[in-house]
Amino acid sequence: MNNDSELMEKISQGHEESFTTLFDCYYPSLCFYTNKYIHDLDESRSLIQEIFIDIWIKRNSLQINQSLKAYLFKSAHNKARDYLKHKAIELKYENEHPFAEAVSDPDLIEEAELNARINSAINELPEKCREIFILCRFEELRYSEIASRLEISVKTVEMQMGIALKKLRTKLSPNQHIQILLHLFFKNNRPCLQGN
Amino acid sequence: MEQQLPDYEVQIAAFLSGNISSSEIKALQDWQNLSDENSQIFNAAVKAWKGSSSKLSKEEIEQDKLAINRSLIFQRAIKEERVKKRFRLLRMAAIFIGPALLAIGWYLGSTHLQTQPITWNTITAPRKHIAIFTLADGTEIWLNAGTTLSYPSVNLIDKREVKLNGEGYFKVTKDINKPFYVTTQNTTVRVLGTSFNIKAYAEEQQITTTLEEGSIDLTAPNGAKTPYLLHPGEQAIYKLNSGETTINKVDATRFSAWRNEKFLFKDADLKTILTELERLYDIKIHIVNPKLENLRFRGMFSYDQDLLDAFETLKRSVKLNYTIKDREVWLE
Repeated sequence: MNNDSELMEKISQGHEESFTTLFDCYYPSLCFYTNKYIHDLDESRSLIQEIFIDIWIKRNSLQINQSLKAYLFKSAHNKARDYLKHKAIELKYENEHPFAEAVSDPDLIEEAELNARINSAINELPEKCREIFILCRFEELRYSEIASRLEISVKTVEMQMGIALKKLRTKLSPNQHIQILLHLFFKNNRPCLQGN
Repeated sequence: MEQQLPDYEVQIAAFLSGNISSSEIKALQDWQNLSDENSQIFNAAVKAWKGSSSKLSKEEIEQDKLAINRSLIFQRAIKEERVKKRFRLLRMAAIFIGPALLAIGWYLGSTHLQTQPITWNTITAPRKHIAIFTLADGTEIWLNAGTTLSYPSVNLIDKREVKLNGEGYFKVTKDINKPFYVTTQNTTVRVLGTSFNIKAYAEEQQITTTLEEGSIDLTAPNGAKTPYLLHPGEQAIYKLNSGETTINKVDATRFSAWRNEKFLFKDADLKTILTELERLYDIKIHIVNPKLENLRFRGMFSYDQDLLDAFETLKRSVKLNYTIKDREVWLE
């Protein structure tokens, strides 16, 4: 995104809203990306939080010679690597999964971004629909169990799951994601962009 | 709205979540084979299902955003504190110049005025900073964060003397006629000319004296063999509760690493490290999980690091969580 450099420029000037925009755009996908390596979503969250904290603290001196996105994912990659290194099981893990450069990053980044899009789509589902989807997908309950827990018919569960999956499926196109980012960006920077 | 949903959407969801019968699977396969569009829809659904394998709820994302904000606010608080302290250090330096000049004045002038009652000047190194200064005789003294040192306002005839509460490194100018004494609350070190480190914080249960160069005599109460004569590279630890003194060979430079505003630890237990951090950052640390106390660490903190960096460093070598509120930290 061309707007990334502008975003970074604003952040370096201490513009807090831009920092929030950066967080909103990238946080979930960075978490999912790190999680691909370390398989611990809570840990991934704290590692990615560190990256954002660092960016804000070092905003004045930060030199990013690549795209902001590449920089963020590179940082996430390094965090994951350091984390694994410091884990006691380091050796064992590396033997099992030769970590270093064996995994192709661009693919993983794309996958992480996709996961983030699907994740935000889950969050945007109507409340009832989301609840049913979460019980099914993450708590692995059967339709009949969900129906009795929520005191609804199995038919409703079937239908809501169909709706949920359809919505998630339509979020797969990457263009949609960029539109969301653009939307966020313009929304947050309107006063500054008017001058141009 | 539910009526508008085609049957295949319901079937695909049922298939992916494992809520489908084998006859329905067959029907779904037939549907897929009907057209490319159908199989594309199916594949996209599979991709979406797989991609939803881990989730972050809106609330969790908001929580994390808040966590970042809280850390940054805390960091800012520490930073402001540090700026304040820097000013204090400057002020302290300014205050010190007065007495130092006075001392030099006495030194150059007459010494017979010693009959006057001795008054003591006190200087303190602020937290997170070390203080460095030179006495009238050229002796250089480094004071670690939180240390207080007193020295006489007049020049004594037969000796030089300072009182230490905390940790100090001394590079004493040689003067055979006027031995240099460093007294702590319990021990006294007698020096002719040498470099050594003394750690004697009032709240700690021991006094550690480490000799880098030259030789010193150490007098401790109840010491049978007192005064102990230390050789370079030797360290004497005096235990307040037992009154015993032990002498060991050590790497002396490591014990004065704090002079470079660094805190080095090698095989140190968590308690020791936390005591240093409490002193450095003026905080109170609570260990919630007592098992942590016995863990041993090696590593380094720099005084200009933020408290969060310090905890993150610890966190990297051992699984622990910290909660920070006001000036208190809980570790578990």
